[in-house]
Amino acid sequence: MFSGKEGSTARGFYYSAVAWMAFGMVVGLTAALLMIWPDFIKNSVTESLRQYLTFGRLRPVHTNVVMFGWLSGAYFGTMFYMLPRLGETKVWSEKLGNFTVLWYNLTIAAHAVALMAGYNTGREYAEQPWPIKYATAVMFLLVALNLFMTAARRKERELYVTQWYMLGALIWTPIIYAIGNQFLLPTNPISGVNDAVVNWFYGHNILGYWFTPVGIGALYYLLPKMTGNPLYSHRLSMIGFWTIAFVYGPTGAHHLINGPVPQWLQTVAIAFSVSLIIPVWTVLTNFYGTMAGKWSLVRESVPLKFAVAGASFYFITCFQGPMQALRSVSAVTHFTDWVVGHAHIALLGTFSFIMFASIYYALPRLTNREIYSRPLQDWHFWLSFVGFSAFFISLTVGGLVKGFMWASTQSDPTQFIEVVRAMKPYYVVRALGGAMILSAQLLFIYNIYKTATAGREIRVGETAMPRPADLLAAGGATSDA
Amino acid sequence: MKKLPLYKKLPVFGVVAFLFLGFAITITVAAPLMDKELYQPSPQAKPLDALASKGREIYAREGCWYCHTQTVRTIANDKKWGPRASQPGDFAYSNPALLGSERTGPDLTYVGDRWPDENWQIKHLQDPRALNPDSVMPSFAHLPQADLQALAHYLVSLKDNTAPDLQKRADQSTEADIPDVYKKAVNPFAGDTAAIAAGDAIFHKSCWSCHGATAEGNGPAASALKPPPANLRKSALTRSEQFLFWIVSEGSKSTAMPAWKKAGLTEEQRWQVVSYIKSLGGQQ
Repeated sequence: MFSGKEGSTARGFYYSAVAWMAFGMVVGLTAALLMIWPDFIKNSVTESLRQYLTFGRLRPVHTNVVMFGWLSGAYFGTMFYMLPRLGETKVWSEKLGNFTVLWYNLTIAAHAVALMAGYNTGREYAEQPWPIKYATAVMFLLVALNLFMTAARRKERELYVTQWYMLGALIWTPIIYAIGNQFLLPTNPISGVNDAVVNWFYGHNILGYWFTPVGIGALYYLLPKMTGNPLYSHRLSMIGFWTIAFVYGPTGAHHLINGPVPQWLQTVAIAFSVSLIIPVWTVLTNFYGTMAGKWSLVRESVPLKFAVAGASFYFITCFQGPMQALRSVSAVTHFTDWVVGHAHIALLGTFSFIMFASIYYALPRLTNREIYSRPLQDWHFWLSFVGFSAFFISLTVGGLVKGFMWASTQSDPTQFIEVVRAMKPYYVVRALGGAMILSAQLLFIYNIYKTATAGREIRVGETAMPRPADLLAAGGATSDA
Repeated sequence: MKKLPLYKKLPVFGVVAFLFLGFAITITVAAPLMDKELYQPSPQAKPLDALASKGREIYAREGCWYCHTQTVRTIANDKKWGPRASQPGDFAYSNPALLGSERTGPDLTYVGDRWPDENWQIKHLQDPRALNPDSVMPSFAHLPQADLQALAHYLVSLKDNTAPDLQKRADQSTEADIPDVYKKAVNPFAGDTAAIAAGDAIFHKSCWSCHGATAEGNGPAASALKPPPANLRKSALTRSEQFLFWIVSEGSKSTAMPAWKKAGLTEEQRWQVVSYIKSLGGQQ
């Protein structure tokens, strides 16, 4: 019943993920438009549909579908592409992989339906009702099982940094998911302020232990491949890996700075948040080191454009993160649109861009077809880049304006509406940027569809598939490779 | 096949990776979970009645908490949201906690002090822009009446439970009912025209939607309110400054009149409003 063809799991995840991306972004854009025209849905759909389409119903659909449907789906595809190649082996079970693709699609569909229907636990990024939480946990476990078995049967025994990051993420994510979702207990036993503490342990660490390591791992795979340069320093990347593993975990309470949680917990979160500078520097040093002498390639290659833009956005998000964890900065930026901009530059500007690069790199090798259209690739990049820049800048500046307006009216809540009024131009630019991002992705999806169905076939021997050992053999500081 | 160093063997790697995360779990999950003080109810914490509990479920279901926080932070910027910063014990009966992460709309920790009338809340939920043209809140007119009532009841229940209750119903009170602290109060701005102008400005921002632009009790929200908002041109003639200052400060029991002391007007601003109301006397 399920295909055992080589590469079919990775393809299945990629095709599904981009479809979920389109859906998730349409929902996101709709929510953005509601900030400008709060009654446009009310005025355009029948009474019985209105309840499913208010901002409060659409927002969790957007966040969960882009996080678990798009980005995690693309991560699964990328891991099913990269991990077997790095181990010079095949996927342990393509059949199980294809079953997992189906399971994942059903799980994401269940998210969308349940959240739109109003089944919401009241916990951010953990809104889904418990049966769907179980389905999600099973999804992660099925992927982890398949890829760990793949790694265990690898012929190239040496572990490249990408494998460390991806396998680490596969261990951490199910644990964080289970703890953060009230230990997966239907009774939701954690109440009071600890509910928020555990919620943000999860909300931040799903980023730290899932979205960050897999995205960075993919970047470490792509850079040497695309530039032909060896990785600048394997040792540095290892330092980055273990510092992420150690430093990221206790930062969750920085979402509750100046709030009703113990001061020591806030201070721990702040100290570790600031320490995140360390792993970020290892990534960026390695990035610039590996790019050295190959910057002219950026002009030629769209995937490399995405990788470079993604790494640059990573720098911004990782500078913001530690700074906005400080009590004095948080006092102004917290609760504003600045935070929304920050969340998007991490998940969209950085990790989604790295996934675009991964898909452009992997898809020709998975389908034996060239990417259908080079001009469409360029359009995809520039619309995404310009659209996202407008999106991010408007939210960041708008967030600061909002934060400082609040700070200047310390006694009068009735002035709140003046701040709402002041946000309108920023919301308009945000929606315009969002519309550009969405149109870019529609071109991208069309290009993928044409690649899979009508791309020029690559003849045997035409694309070299460099052995992963080549990455290591010339790999800078890795003397033991 | 060459021999790998121990730390590069998959099971060892897995265990070490888990231990690194275990450190974070121990200090930022296990330690707070075992901290009994975090569960002790504060004087502010009150269990909700059945209708308010249902309202809270609707609040979670409709995603109100994506745009409204229920946390007053310990910083000066948040003083406008209520008389005291939120403490862990305030949430002792809350599950989920619903602290919120964004303020597209106002903080709601003490919204019941600002907008204490359920009918006002229902009207606002149904058509936010009728009462506040610049609001970006969704209309919830599609919700069943029972849901709206529960939600409004819940919102009104969100108020400061620690302050002494000096509230009475204004239209059933006389000068004799004024609490002592207000009886002795003196308007620092008596006869000051600048204060009347300042009070005028505050009135036409914060009071007019119920009391009307002409202060005759006929604002856009008035039709939804029982008892109706006072005609302040009459009150200006019949009530003392001390009476007006008391009601403006403490609100009027079982009506839509907020306690502006808690709803964000300083003592100075409240006297300015009183000066303005008084200035309306005899101008009918």
